[in-house]
Amino acid sequence: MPREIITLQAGQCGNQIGSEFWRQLCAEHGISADGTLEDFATEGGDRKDVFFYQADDDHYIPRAILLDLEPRVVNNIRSSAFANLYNPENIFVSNDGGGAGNIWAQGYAQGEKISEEIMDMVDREADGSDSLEGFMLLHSIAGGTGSGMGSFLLERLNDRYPKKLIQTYSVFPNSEEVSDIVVQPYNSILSLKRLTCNADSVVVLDNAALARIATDRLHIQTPTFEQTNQLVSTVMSASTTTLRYPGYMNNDLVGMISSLIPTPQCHFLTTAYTPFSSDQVDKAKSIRKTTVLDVMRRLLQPKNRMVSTIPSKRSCYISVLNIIQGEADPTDVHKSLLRIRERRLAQFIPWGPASIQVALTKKSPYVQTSHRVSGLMLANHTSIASLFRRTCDQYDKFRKRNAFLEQYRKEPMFSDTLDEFDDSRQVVQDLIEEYEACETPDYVNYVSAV
Amino acid sequence: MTLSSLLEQLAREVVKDRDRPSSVRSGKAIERQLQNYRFPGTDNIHTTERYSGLVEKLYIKNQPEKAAYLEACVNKLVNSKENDGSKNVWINSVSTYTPHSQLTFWMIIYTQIHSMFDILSLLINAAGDPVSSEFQPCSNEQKDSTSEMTWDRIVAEEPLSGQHWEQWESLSTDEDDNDDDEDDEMDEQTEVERLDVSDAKKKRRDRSPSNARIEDQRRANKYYLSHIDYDKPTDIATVPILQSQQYWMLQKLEESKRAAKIVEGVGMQAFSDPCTLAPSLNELRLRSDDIRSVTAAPEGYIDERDAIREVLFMIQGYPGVLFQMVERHGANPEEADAPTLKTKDSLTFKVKTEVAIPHMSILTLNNLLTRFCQYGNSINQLRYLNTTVCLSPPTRFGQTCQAFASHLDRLMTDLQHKLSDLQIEYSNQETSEDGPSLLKLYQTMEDDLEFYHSLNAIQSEIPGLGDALYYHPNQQDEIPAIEPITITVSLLNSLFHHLDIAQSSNHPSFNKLKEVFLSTIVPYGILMDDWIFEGSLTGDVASEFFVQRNPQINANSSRYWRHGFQIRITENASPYPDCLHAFVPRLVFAGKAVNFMIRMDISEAEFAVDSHIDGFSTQLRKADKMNASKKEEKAARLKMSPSEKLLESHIPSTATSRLKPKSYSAAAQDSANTSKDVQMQDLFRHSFAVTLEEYVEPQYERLATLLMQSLNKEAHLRRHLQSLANVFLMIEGDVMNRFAESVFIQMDEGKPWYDDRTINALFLEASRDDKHILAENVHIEVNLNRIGVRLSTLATASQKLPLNSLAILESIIIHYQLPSPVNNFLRRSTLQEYRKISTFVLQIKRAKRLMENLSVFKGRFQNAREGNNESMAKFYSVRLRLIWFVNNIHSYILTTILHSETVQFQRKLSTLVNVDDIVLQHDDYVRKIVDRCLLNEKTQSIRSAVIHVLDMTILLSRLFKKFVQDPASRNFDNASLLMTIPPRLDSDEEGDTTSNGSDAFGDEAAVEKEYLKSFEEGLNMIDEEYSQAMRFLTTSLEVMAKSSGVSWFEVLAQSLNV
Repeated sequence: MPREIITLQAGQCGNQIGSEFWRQLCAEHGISADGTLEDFATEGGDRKDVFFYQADDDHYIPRAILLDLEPRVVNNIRSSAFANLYNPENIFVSNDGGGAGNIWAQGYAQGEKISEEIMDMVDREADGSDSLEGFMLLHSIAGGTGSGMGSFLLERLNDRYPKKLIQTYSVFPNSEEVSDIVVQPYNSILSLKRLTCNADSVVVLDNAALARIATDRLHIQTPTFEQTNQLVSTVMSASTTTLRYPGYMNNDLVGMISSLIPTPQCHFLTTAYTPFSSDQVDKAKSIRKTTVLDVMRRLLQPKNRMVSTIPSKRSCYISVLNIIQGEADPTDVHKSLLRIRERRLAQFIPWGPASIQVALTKKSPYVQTSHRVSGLMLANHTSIASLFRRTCDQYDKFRKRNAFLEQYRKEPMFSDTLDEFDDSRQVVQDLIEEYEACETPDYVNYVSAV
Repeated sequence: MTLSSLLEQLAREVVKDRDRPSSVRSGKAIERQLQNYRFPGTDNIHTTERYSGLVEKLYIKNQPEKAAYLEACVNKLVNSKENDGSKNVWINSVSTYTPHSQLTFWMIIYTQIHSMFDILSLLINAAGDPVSSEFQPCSNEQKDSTSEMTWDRIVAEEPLSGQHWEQWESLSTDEDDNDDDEDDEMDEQTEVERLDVSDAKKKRRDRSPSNARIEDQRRANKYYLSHIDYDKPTDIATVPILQSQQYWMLQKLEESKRAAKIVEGVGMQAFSDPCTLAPSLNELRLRSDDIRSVTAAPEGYIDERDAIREVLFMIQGYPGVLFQMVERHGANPEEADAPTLKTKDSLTFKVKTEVAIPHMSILTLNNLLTRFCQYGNSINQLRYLNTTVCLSPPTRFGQTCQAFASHLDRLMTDLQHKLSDLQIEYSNQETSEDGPSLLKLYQTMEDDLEFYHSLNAIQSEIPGLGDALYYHPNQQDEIPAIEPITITVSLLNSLFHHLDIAQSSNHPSFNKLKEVFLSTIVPYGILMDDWIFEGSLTGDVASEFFVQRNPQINANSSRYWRHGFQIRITENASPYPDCLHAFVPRLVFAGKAVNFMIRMDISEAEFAVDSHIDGFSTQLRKADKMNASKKEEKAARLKMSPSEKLLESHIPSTATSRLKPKSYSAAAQDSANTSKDVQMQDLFRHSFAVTLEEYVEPQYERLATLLMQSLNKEAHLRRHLQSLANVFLMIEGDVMNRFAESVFIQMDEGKPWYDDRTINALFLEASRDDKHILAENVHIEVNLNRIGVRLSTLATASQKLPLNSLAILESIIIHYQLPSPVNNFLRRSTLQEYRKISTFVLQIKRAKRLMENLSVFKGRFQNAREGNNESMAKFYSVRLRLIWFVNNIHSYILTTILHSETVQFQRKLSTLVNVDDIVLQHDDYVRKIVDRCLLNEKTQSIRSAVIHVLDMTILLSRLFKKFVQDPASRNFDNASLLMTIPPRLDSDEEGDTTSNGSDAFGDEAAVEKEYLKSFEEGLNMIDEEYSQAMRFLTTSLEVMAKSSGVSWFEVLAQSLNV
């Protein structure tokens, strides 16, 4: 009874991190680029069927749906070594190939148009699984396709599969600079509303933080997209190890996120990973001693966090799940937790009991790393609100001037009214307030405005 | 005035800065420093403690010189404060530790102002890193110039003197042979003893193995020749004449007496004539007034040569004139069946005192003859033992005893040869210069006789043997039962013991005794060989081996390994010889292992030994030979000077290289290095133990590894252990998780799960394709009786399952069939314990699953309950707490206890060689995890509190389903419930479903209100009970952790502590 997860990757960013993710998963399960099982990987002990299914010729096929409105990235995938891995029926590229032009509204509108086709793919995949656990959406919220079509997908999936979990890996733009995409605050706000209302858990990944980690931690001066995407795929594969290598903890997605998310709104998770090594990211040069305590301590350090948030004095952890991979000694876990508590390395919410959950999992036997133990932290931290706040500030500046709205008005959704913008802004504001309320002891009596 | 304002003031004073903000900053900084750093006091005790701490640290860091020096200095300083000089010394030394010697110097100047301890404290604070800094003791302290001291130098200075240091050689040289036969009675006893000693010494000097062998050969040849020369007397008529001439004929005796009488009355001069000594003495006695000295006059006198012949005869076992049987032989002619038992008395000679030798006082003769008689008796008894035991079936006395007897036979033959030689020698002695002498005979024979005597002593020490050997006239019933094992053990024990004594006292009989021992142990050695190489006990016909098959245990029984073979139980003595004591466990194990592997159908080729491996007794002999040759070698090589020998003999342990001056030659050095070992090896006890070790250990190790391997390979012992951990503890693989999950789903969906067929089908489905669990051994039973529910009543819905409690999971009983032969090593009783754990784990899993299923994400249900956000907030907070609790318990039980302990156990397992250790370790492991999972009696209350909190997850889950899930689905549920038959068996619905169902069709608003009310009530109730339970848990755990000092309570308390 595998608990299958269907992966949807939308847009340029989504497909790029997606292809890295599948590359990583194949390596860990001993699946070759064309989907055949490697000779050395017949021993088993892992659960491939969560993310793969077997075709008639025993090839492993990812439960993945690749969606894009412009063909460039998908064509790259099609010409890569992994071209034959994916089910060609699951790849959708818009016919006109014009893309969404980095406009959320276009992506959303095009999504509506092609919804039949996409939902067919989703239904087919869902029917092909024994007990579907949920969906994983990979996208960025800054561009047009990932954010717009991604938002549309979230709404549709929520309608169609109300009892299935939806987890997203959402790449947030670098909020310190408004770079290539001018309208990213609009896109972000509109996507954030869907992420808040239609997703069960959102793993927030931040371009700024990824770049920072690549330069600071891995000493890569000018990190390429491929390198930062490898960081993301590492985090993704680590966060799904408990699902893929069965153990006694967190065998399914719901088990993992139920203790991380205390209230429906607060489901934005930050991640931290340590140690990155050259095996996972090319050219990385840091190798150090790893014990459970070392790993757990480093995970709490802000510099290893994959989101650049600005913690205030009051910000605190709502919940923490550490996934420790490798030859971790279970006897160390309790000691490490005690040590962290004694040192007060992590500040927890004042309104309820909270502590670090630790899940020990196996490491893939087929991927050799120089580290004995590695760890991923999935945390629900109130400082994530600062990220939203920055987006809101940028949005407010644009919105006040009604700048760059022409492209949006072209779509029927915004042709008459811009209420959708204001509504989304309100949802994000509520979210920020809820997170801030989480930092106070009387959150138990907090009445959400929603 | 507050502390901060004071500090501020201080900062202002020090900095001389009137700027207020900066002084405030400095004040704050100082305050922080005061909070964060330790500022040690300078009081005396504290300072001394710190120094002693440093000293200890230095010792720990393996810098004893530093430590000792520092300690001495501090002591010196503290004890003599007045002495300024010592202070300087100390400060000098300390300054070498610190990089702040300048500062130190200035400190000395202010000694008068500051107290000494202030300085000491300051110094230790100023010292950077005393442990790692260089240390050179100051030069003004004179180091004792002690030149290298060696033992030889000491001896040279003060030679070892005194009588107790003298050597054998020096003693023996000044001893003169005092072979004066004409001592009077007063000296006789001591004289005999002295002879004894001197003779023994002579023997010792002469004896060497090669000489003895040649001698033996010569004697044997002579014996045969004498037989060949034997002629039968042809002239019958001469016999009476010859008879009349025999000294032992009464007539002849009378004659001799008369002849003696002639010399009577001759007077004192007769005393000087040795030939008339005895008669004259006798006469003298008769005349004296002292009645005590009167002895009966001898019936006659005989020649000394005749007496010698008599003695030799007697030793051969024939009575004569001088020696007669205590009891006539053949008193019971009807008991002629072989082997006939004789009474002990019929084998015993007594000295007949009626006859004397003219030139020897009667007492002297008597003493001599008594001594001979004792020896003769011993030899006679041995001879009897020999024939009786050899003729009996081996089951009667045991094979070891028979081996002993047969060796006796050889010895007896040897003795016979010797006696024949002597006889010939004495009969031909008319021509030789010395006359025949009993004393001389005694001297020549003594060693041999003494040896036989001691053998007899050994034999008679054996309890029960005497009873079995001899006929007791007053005991008419059957032959008394004896246990061969008792004889065997005590025979070997006492032989070994005497051998040890003989060696340590340097007794000449040692080598012979060793031969006896080596021959005697042969059958025992064969038994051991059979046992440890083939696992066979068939050779043990007389039940004398210490291992026996327990006939009550079937070979297929699970108790076969533990009880199939056992050490024989004997009444009061140990069932094995003491010298085997240290090896018994390994010996027993080896045989058991062989047997077990045969039973496991492992081909014999795998564990059979190479045929060239020697049996135990062969190995013993080889080792002995090797020792002997080594000894010879050593004797040849070692030509030590007397002083060295002296050293060697008295201080063997210190006479090694350390004390040897370097001037010695290389050869001497070499010998000195090896001397200790050689001496140790010389001890038979040692070489026996070494041989036994070399005999047992390789086989033991080989078999232990082999058994372990085959158990893992053939019987999958390791896999079963893993399987147990997977099935009951759910820590590895996900079969059981999947199984539990599917059972929970059945429960949630209200489908019946409680019959064996369904639940086993669910298990099989979960375990499909899994290689980690030996699923064919698992059977799952649902026993509702255990929780007080009868299935028959369930069907009619008159009785409900106890839905509010996780106790329902107690009805799931997992059976694990331990196949043979694994069941020999994993006890069935441990499965019971495993089951307890599995129930608890299932309950935790169920609670966790229930909490996870409260899908509050996405805010799906918010709109449904608009306006009731207060109660939702309450719900979230209760959920958070419960989920936290469940997670912590889950993590404590599964990670901290089960996973950790299992990992440790498996780590230990991989290092184990002996399967017995597996049993022990496994029991230990199970006991540990049961204790730590709060499953024993003592922690009952804590466990039930935990379960109580876990039970609340059911309640919360029900509240959630009823009040939070959207009304449409609720209506559907209720409506469907109305029609559902049989009723739902899981914990999802409350008893009053009907009323709820009907309400669903009534006034929506009213129902909403009612619902809401009870929703809040329910949450409050959970909240209250949760807090209560947590209070109880935290306090009781803390108290228990403190009072019992058991670490895991503490761990649990820490885990549950917010």
